[in-house]
Amino acid sequence: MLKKIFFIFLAGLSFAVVSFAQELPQSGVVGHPKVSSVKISGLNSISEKEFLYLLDINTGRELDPEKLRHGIKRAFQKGIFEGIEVERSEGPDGSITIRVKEKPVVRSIKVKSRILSGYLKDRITSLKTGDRLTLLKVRNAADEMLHNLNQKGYPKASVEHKIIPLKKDRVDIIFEIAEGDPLFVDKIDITGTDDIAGSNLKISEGDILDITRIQQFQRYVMQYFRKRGHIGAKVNHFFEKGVLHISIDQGKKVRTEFKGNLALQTGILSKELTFFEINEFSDEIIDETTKRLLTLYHKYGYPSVEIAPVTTSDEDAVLLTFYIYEGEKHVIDSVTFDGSSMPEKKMLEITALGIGDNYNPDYLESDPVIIKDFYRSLGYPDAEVSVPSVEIGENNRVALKYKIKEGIQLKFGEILIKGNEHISDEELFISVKIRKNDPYNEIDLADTRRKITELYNKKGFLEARVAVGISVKDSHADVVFNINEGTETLFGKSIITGNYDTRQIVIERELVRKEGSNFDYNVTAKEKQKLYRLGLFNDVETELGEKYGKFRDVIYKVKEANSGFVEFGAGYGEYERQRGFFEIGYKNFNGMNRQGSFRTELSSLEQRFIFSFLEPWVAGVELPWKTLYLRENRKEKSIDSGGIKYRIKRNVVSTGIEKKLDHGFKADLYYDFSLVETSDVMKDIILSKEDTGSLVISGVRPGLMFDTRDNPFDPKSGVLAGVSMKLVSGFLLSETDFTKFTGYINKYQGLTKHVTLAGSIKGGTAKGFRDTKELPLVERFFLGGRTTVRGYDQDSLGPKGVDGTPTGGNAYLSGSFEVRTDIKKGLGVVVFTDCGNVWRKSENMTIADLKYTTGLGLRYNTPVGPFRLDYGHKLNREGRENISEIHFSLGHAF
Amino acid sequence: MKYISVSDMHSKLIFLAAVVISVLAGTEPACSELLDKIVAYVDNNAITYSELKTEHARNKMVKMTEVETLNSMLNKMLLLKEARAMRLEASNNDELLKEYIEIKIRSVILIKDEDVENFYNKNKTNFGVKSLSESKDDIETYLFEAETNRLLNEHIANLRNGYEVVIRLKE
Repeated sequence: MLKKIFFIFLAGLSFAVVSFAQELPQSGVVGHPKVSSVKISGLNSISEKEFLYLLDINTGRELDPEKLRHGIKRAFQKGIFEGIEVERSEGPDGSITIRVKEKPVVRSIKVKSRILSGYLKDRITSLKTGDRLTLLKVRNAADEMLHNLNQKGYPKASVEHKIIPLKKDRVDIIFEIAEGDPLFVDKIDITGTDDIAGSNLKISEGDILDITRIQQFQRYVMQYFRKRGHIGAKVNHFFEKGVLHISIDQGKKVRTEFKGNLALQTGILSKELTFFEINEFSDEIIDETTKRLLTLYHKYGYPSVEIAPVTTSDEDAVLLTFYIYEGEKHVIDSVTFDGSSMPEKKMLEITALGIGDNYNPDYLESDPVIIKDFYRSLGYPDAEVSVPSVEIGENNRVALKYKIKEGIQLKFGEILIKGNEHISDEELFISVKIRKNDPYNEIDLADTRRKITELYNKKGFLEARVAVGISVKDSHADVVFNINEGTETLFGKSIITGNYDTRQIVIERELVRKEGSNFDYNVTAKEKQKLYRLGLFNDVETELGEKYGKFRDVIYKVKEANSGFVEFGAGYGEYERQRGFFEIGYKNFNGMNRQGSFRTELSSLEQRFIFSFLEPWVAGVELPWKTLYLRENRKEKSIDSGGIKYRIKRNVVSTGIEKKLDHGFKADLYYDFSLVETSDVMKDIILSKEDTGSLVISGVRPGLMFDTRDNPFDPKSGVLAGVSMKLVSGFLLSETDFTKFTGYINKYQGLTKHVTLAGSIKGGTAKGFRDTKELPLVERFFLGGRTTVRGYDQDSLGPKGVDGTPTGGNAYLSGSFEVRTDIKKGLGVVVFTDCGNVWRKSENMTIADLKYTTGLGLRYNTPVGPFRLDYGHKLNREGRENISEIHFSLGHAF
Repeated sequence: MKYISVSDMHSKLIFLAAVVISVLAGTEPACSELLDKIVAYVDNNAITYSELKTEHARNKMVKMTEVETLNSMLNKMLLLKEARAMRLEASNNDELLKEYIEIKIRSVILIKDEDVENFYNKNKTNFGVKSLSESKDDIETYLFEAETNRLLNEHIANLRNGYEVVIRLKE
């Protein structure tokens, strides 16, 4: 029996030993067991799906130890983990257990100090609530506090911290401060200039030694003396046996004057005096300043200028006088390049000294070097360029003459590419723009080298290097592009960090790369742009993980911006008088980039309340779905009488989708349902029964837009065009039936940096069907005013009722042309001409009816477009019409 | 005196054997195989147990403990981080490390003639009949390497203060 017991005991022990031995990771295992299931514990902050993606663990797939190692390291880069441990259950089922320990999140930070709690807490920069806890951050925060305590006069202070663990991986941190005895100032001893101290030194005898107050005083004193023209002012302090010693050295008062300067004003010359900025005054600085002044005079065309600095000083002050002999101004009259076969215009583009320029002798030495380099880059390796001879003619007109020996120009010989394995010669030669017998040109050569490198980079060869070998033979340069391809890199996985409120999917769906595709920096740059455009992040950074095999992971570090916003504004419009708006919204509902807002616009003529909601992706597709509810209460005034033309109360629900297409196109499709109540309508503008009372207008509105503008607020180039159609019908529960087409095209073309031409054509036509003969008032076209024909008042063009009130019409056409110029400091002037008119029906449209206006406008740039003031003048005024109108608004007219 | 019968003793021993088996063999660690885990990290860069094992096996000849190997891996990681922050480039990590140490440590070391002389005088007996001028190169090399070592240790200690360096080998 004892034998049996001993056997059982031994069997137990040996089984245990084997079990422990199996704790070690196996290496060199041929073929790895498949993962049947995964159990994760301790994971709170990210989804299991994301975690397993980072670990590269999939059920049903083999678990490769090397992949697992990279996976653990990858997941750790999320920055939220402290420990990750992966185990496999013994037995055939191959289930995996992952134990995770997350770094706790700091819920609160408390500073317990007898006297300085708030002060110290406000100055902690290395740790904040919401951070993942790291001991480094806690240590740095404690160091910051200790430093601040020392500065406040507590040299014996100590800081202890306590980390209080809470549920769900959160902690409270308490810093307990023992201030210790402070240092007291028994006496203040100020030497040097003590009359400045007075009330500016915010520390008195008996106070605690607060270094921050002494530093404030130092800054004040330095500024005080600098303002008074002193150079070298210093404030030193030290504390010993209760006495605070402060010594103030006011430096030297330096006065400067210029004598003999007629061409250049003292103000211009004074900008070259650097000793006030660097707070130093010495012979070297004076020499340096003199050189700067000479250079300045040379720049203005005074080659004979002479400057003599003379200093006179007493104990406290120095007078520095620059005696200047300016000489006469010289201007370059002609520049010739003897022996050059290059076009003179080209040569003058590269030299600093050109015809009509001020003659600056400082460029005499440097211009020949530039010309020589230019020749070399074009294949003249032996080119020689002399320093130009200078001939000064009448009225100080200068003639410069370069003597050039060009030598023989090289031509390209054979062009070869070597070392390419992964990209064919044919594909590479597409990037090679140089051809045999073309004139040799280093710029083209460098450009080709760059293009070949870019092609390799684009195909994932990040370390590719291209060396250019040139061998010259009989005036031909044979070129070999020697390529060292390096190793191929493929995109690995994406590691996203910093998205605390925003869901992973919102970022992932913006990423265009595919795991395993060729690594390309252009792709990551594009992804960064897309992430910025979401409007959810202040900062997006991408980093590459270490290479494993052919793969490199990309780490996206985002910093979330405030998702909520409040905007409000008030202003004055020439038509609405007082106006204002208020908007409140949130851009990241449920962390899904869903946007909702409420906006109200109020003026003396209208009140609008708008609730809107945007779902940016629908059913996994980027298809922004917008819905809004608008409640509007508006009155239209008659321009002539000032009376009410009509009042409108409108409730609108609009919902639809938008789709960005390639090449700047965008398509949309909306359904609108409006309940319109029109009242107090002037009799002479009533064209149909729908113009008064309640009316349901319900229809669909497809549209297409094309936008290639460089800047929507202030475009300098590009096109904005669009067409849309509105179909309103009883089939869609509408009480009226009509179709309406509108279209516009705006073109912007920058002529120079400061001049832009802008043109716009807009038009629309509408037609009723079934029982509808005329469009309801609220849907008719009106024209005239600040964005259309600016010589006319708002909505004043087109058919009119019996007493002259505009009725609006079913067709319109307008055009505008502007010359936009930027003058300086955000100010601009615009010259414009507009034309347009409204017709009762499209069949009546005729060019002869167009009304023309011209005018001038002022612009002042703001971040949301220019503030605009326009004066429009009628060119074909009729009857008792005003000759002109003035409009002011925000943003360009088109 | 209380006697225990043989059958009592047998049953108690059987019970004890069963307990041993259940405690040693029936607990979770015995049923599972550790595949890998994090044993240390510098900021967001981790070192795994499998990496430590590989490195430790590679250093077998040096007879380091696991903790020493881990510390050496952490130090290397810190230096490489700094080298990359300086945008240094090299064909591999070892070259990068060399370049960094050359720039950051070795380039600032200057062995003065008086240091060589002092060393020679203090250790004269070790040099036997060799004169100072004969021993100068050897002493200089020795002092240079010793100083490199000292400064490198000092530099690593400073770096460790600026990063979150954590070892979790025992956990």
